[in-house]
Amino acid sequence: MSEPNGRQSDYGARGWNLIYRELAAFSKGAVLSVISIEFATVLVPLLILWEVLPRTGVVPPTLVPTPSSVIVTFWQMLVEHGLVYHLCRSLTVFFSGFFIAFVTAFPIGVLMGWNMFFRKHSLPLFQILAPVPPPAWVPITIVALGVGLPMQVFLVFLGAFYPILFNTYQGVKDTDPRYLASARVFGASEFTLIRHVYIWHALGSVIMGTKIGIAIGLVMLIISEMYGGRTGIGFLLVESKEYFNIDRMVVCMVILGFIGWFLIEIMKYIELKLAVWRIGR
Amino acid sequence: MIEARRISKFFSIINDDGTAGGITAVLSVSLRIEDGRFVSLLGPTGCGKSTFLEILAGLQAPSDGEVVIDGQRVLEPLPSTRQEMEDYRRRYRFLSPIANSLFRDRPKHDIAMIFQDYAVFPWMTTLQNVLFCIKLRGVPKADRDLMARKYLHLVGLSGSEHKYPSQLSGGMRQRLALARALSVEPKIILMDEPFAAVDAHTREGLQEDLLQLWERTGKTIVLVTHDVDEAAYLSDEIVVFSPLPGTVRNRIEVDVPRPRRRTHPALRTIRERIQSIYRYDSDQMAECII
Repeated sequence: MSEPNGRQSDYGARGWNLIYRELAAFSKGAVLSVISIEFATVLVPLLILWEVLPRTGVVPPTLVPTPSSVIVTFWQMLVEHGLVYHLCRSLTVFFSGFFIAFVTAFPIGVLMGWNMFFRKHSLPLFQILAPVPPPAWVPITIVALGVGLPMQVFLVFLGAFYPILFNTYQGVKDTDPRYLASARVFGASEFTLIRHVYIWHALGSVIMGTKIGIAIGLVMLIISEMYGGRTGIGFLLVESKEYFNIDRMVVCMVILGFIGWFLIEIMKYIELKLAVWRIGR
Repeated sequence: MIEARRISKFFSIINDDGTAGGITAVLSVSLRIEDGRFVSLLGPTGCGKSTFLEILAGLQAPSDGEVVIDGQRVLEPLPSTRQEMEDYRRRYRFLSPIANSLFRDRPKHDIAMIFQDYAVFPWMTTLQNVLFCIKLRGVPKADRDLMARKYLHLVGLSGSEHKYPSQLSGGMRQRLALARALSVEPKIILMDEPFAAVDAHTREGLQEDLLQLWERTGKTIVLVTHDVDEAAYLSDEIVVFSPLPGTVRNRIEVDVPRPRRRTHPALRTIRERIQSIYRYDSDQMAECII
């Protein structure tokens, strides 16, 4: 009995059934990470306080919108102002930038961690470039790429690139030499070492780097949309500032928080799926 | 046959006061190990015997001398002059000399090694660990699964094929390392203090298993240990290392017929002989210091 057959008979799931099952497991894990009785005892009073304080006039209602008005505004934006369009646009920019960052940073990080030759030739470059705060790249990017999609994608890419690169590099470089020696004695080629030893040993820090990359990528997304373009959540934020529409600002902020939380949950799920072996520890 | 000719290994270190210094870990060790023998390298901890074993395995290059396994040199010694050093650097600037090759899985020698702290891959299940090693030897895919299960059964791990090493006990992890080493069916197995990290009871069980496997398969086994009892009980020949720098202090043939009893009088004599060697050494050293 080979391994894949064993798997299938174990779980009895394939195709849509499998996808449905995985989605259910994911959403259960994600929702459960936020909703618990302990947290509800904190969240519910906070929400009530948020609703009551502006209504009773303790804080000025013009500056602090109540949750109920935020929900109403959210619905309005959804129906009248094309919130879905802006959201899709933002997500497209974010995922393009993040994807490009990952497919470049991960291999470069692995190569730098694996081989002294690569490390000596490329690491100093990244060490010089990385301390430049990503927002500092905004003016020159606007000059070079103009305002629009390429510039936004590039800025997201810049934000996500270095955390993924350096964490991958560190993880691969710190691979325990015992594992390498034991694979080498059995005759593993360098490519096999990378595929079966280095990457797995670095998995934890790669995922850590990806999480940081997501966070900084979101920051760069908002900054890039604020400075250039007429689409996206960042643009909505700036626009609502112009009209002094605090309800909308809060809606945008809540949406951004939700996106960040959701992406981190996805990373947690990927970690759970890939690093089964860590659970027993 | 393993033949080590005048192996020396120097390390450069930086002292506490910031000056550069050197350590001689192994000094001019020559050794010949015939096929099918069970040889122990015995010495106090930190006497360079593990370094010597890694040089045998080709995981470190010796500073001087060479290791020949079945007529084939393992690793070239490190360069000694500046000119040679530059050549060496140029030749190996891309891949280090201990690397096998870039894409092709091919062991340099027909050896397997077991490490002190197991070094089984925690991200693979028991079965995957063994399969990985078999695959590196180029065994056709159809036979791999059967072979892996056979050797897992041999060391008594059948039933834990789908467990991860973190779910196994220390003794079972050591068995897994043993299964991994046996599964590639090497002629030579090198062991670096394999039973140091398990409790005394488990250790005796593992020793019995190891002896049985050795007698059944007839492999050459080189065992590094600091345990006098273990060396005397298991091996055909004991090579006693002196404390740093590691040199061959003495070689003792163990002519006790197998199967042996742990309490055999001849074994006790050998133990006492080795202990008296150590006592003499430490007395001498104490006198030097005074």
